[in-house]
Amino acid sequence: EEAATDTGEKKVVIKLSTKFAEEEQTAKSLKRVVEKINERSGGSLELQLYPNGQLPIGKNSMEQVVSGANWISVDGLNFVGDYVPDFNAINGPMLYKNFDEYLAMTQSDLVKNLKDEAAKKGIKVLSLDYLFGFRSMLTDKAVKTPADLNGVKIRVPNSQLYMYTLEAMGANPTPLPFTEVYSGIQQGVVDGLEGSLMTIYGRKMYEVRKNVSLTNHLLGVSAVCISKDVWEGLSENQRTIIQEEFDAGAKYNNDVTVELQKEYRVQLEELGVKFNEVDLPAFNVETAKVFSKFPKWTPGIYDEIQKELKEIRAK
Amino acid sequence: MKNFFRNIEVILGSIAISITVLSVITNVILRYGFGIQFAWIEEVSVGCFIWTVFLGATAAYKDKALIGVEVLTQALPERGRRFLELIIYSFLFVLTATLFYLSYNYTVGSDKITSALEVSYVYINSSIVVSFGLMTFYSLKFLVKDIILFIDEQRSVEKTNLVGKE
Amino acid sequence: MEGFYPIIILFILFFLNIPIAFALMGASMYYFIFVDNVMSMNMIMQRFVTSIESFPYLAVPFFIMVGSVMNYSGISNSLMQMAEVLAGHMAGGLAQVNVVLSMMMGGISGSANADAAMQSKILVPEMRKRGFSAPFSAAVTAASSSVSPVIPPGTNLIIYALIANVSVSKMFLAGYTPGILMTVALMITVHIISKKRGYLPSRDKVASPKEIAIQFINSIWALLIPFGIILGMRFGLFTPTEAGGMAVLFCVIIGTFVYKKLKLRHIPIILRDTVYGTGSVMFLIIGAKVFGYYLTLERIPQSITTFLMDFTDNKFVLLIIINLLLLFIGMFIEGGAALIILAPLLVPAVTSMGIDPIHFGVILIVNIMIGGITPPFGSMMFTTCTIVGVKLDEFVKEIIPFIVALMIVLIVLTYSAPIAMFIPNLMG
Ligand code: NA
Ligand code: NA
Repeated sequence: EEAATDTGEKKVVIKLSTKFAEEEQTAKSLKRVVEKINERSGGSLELQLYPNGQLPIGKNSMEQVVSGANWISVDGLNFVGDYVPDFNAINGPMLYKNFDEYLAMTQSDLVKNLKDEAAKKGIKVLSLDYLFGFRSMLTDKAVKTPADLNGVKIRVPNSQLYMYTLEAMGANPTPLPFTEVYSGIQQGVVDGLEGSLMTIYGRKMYEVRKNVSLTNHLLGVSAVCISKDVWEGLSENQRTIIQEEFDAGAKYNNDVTVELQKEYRVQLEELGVKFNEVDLPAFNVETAKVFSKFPKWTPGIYDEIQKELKEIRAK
Repeated sequence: MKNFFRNIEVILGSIAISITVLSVITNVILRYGFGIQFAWIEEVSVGCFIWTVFLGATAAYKDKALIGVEVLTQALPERGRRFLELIIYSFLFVLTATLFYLSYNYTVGSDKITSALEVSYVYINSSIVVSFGLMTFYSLKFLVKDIILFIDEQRSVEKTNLVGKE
Repeated sequence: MEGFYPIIILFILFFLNIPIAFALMGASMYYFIFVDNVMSMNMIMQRFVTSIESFPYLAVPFFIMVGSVMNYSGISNSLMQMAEVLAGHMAGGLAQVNVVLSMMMGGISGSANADAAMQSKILVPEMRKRGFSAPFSAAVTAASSSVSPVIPPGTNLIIYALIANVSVSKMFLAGYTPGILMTVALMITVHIISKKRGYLPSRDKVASPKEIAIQFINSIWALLIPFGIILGMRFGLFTPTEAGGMAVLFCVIIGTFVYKKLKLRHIPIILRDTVYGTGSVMFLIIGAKVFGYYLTLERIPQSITTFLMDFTDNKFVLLIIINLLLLFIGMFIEGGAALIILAPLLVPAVTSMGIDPIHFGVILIVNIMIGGITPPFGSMMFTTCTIVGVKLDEFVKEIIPFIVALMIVLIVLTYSAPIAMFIPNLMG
């Protein structure tokens, strides 16, 4: 470690790795957070942001965290789920009606316990609240009920949760690398995709398909994680600064995201994209089955989540 | 049987690449012909591809077929070239041994799991342990051979000098 | 300063004749063991595996295998005969075929390394038989392989479009003009060299229409393979990467049942070729990616870019500097990795100066492709030299005229946006 700084603490350099590109909102929000932390710490902390997957992302970023690197990973919840499987369950299909319900869930005792489990595996979860938006269906024809997805090949990321969810919704889930999605739809390898408005607009997917059906089947959200050992090696003051700024950053990020989603919808409509409401209860019945498909998830986790949700909705 | 062990990398690599090709073809036929899709097929094909790469690289190293830049080597006289080769294989021995050591530690220490099959990465990461392990062994073999040759030459040079004096 | 040591070490290892992949790994390991204090040392091994853990890379073994299968199945012979009828009367006939074939293959595949590997295997042996020197054959193959990723489809075009946030279909359209210009420039270069050296045509006269028709019918199955691949992709039966696997299948079927030349005993040889080829090519790419990881961690590309932006605010001067920078970096880092590192850094800077990001994508990709055939570390250069068995210094002498030709194309593309953007503007 380098020389003492003006606050008298040892200077710590931490790399922050995320898949999001500079122009995407999550990366923009993180840039603000990093700047604020570096400024507030008076030089005792230097967080370096590496967006756009310049450094390892996903599993590999999380592996860096677990191995005790000076590293912060900002990526999907499912990568914490590799270590504590129930993180996948709280972000399972069709649980939340809006962002606020999810944000209340991350404050619940259920999730607090999961964070403790993660800590045992060496992962300090700084935030689960960096929202990216609900995922919808982008297809040729409007989707109203599960029957409308019968035989329709939908691109999914190479993940079991997505495979089961889309299968439950009636579609033929087809894993494709993201770089092959656009041409894959164009050429008919797949008939459509599922993704957030951010992806549909930002990655120009509206050029190849014109119907968005608002299935909101999964919620795009990032977890911010740091090594537990690195975290405990920081001073009280450094920890406070980091935690407060990531919390404030999440709030800012989500406010902007809500606005952006409205804006993107308007822009997409101007580009000729049609938005369709779907029969949510019909899909919900089907996707509930997904929760029993994972042997690693705690049995009865679905009921527990529903119980928490009931309390959240009652408030 | 002796032949089998001499070509172990190529034989295992051939099996791995066959699985890659067959699984990708099967995937296309299943998807188009039957509308069936398995996420794990891609994972298996990429995993076998990684094994192919490291086994193939090991085989190429064993045959001294990996390419270098031979500007300096060609300018050197015969004995200088031998000496340089000693330096090269000493370096490669240290490098491959280091990579082997780190690969082993990394593989043993990792509890990362794959996306589709959700199995341990050990099945994939072992490829670097095996590859750099074998490369370390071959480096040592090359190095010992070079040292023996170098000493032999040194002796014969001394002998010639003695003969010349008589 | 300590952060720059690996670059110096790299050059030392390189001059000691350490195999390039190991030179890259050795220089990087110095950094990860002695300089870096972000992560534990073991974690660098993660990069060795994950940097190639990507489905699109499967195109490399697939097309190496296609090349090998074509040799034993009678397909290359059949294609060679067709090529000879068409181009045999020109000076440097087979060298011209080499260039044109890369353009046609570009319509099927997107990997320069795969193209270079395949043609090193099927075309170069034929060229050698017809009296072309091995270094010249390798140079033609490497130079023309730079065309195939520029012509759509190609993973580089898609990756750039995603990073720069532009339309993939527009980016695809933008690839045709540079691809064709590069082909023409390379054909002119081949013509001039062949005239000078007396690389003879392999036939006396231009073939008659009747002769061409007869040969066409004889070669119809071989010629149908590229069409099968194109149609399969057009109708969505398979993705560009999967197309490589399907090409293997087509070649095996045609070689076994139509030409009846492919036998069971060929299979171990084909597999052996594929394992060796894949191992040596990909091992280099791993070396480049591990070294690229060091560059990223030290933010070296960024420092260079920032330095450049401070240097000028003139659009044309900036483009010259970027061209030079990209050529330089392209020599050291594998093309795909260079694209992933540099595009996000350069695109915002150039767009703020009023340069169309699609136009810039064309410049960027052509630049990186030229870097791939330029010493000391061009990746296609290594692919061809490894497979053909040519020494680098011999190769370097032969590649220079081709680099000059491609640089002229690059200058035309850089400074006349209307030419570069003709097709996307017309159809987009
Ligand atoms: Na070629
Ligand atoms: Na192409």
